[in-house]
Amino acid sequence: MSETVKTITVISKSSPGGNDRAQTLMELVLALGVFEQNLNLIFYADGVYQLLDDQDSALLDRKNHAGSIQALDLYGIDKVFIDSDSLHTRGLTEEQLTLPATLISPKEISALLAKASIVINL
Amino acid sequence: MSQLHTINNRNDWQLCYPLLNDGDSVVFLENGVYCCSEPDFTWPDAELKIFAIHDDVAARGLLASLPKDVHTIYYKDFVEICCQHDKVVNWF
Repeated sequence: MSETVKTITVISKSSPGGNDRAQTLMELVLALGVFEQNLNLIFYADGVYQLLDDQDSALLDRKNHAGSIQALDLYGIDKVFIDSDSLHTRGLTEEQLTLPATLISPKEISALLAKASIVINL
Repeated sequence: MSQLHTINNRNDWQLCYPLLNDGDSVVFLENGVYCCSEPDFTWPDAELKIFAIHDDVAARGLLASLPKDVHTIYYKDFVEICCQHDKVVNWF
């Protein structure tokens, strides 16, 4: 790996409601996208709930999180991964998700962590 | 490429656990020390080093219940361990 090219791996592990973790992290990810950083985004644990298609956060007076999720593509963030174990233990299927992402195993996630220059986890 | 994982609460250990690589280290601090002092505390077979911040353990009265494979360290050791790894993954 060249010294100049840094890979940033972001693990989003929080559900969209309850606190601002998921939203804050997504704003960071979109900002990194603007600056064309080499980025891997992984939805892990409760973070997979952010991807559900049928969300209506207006009912809770909150900004719609699905909006930022759908903006990922627009911001050139295409390396998006979902932990398959997190998805399946929560009884969710790929058909319920709002964007196409690559399902990967925890083993593959740890390989991505090993290759990253920086890991951000929220 | 090795990672140092830091765990400062009970819930994040089970999230961190599946993602550990050989050569990684884990430091338990603050309320995270509760999970590494439980009798059924286990870690994956990977070649790992497990540490807990001494003062956080002692302050909670857990020194006696800490498994012998969990090494207690002080903050200056923590800094040294951070420098020995390529990056730090904070779970919080």
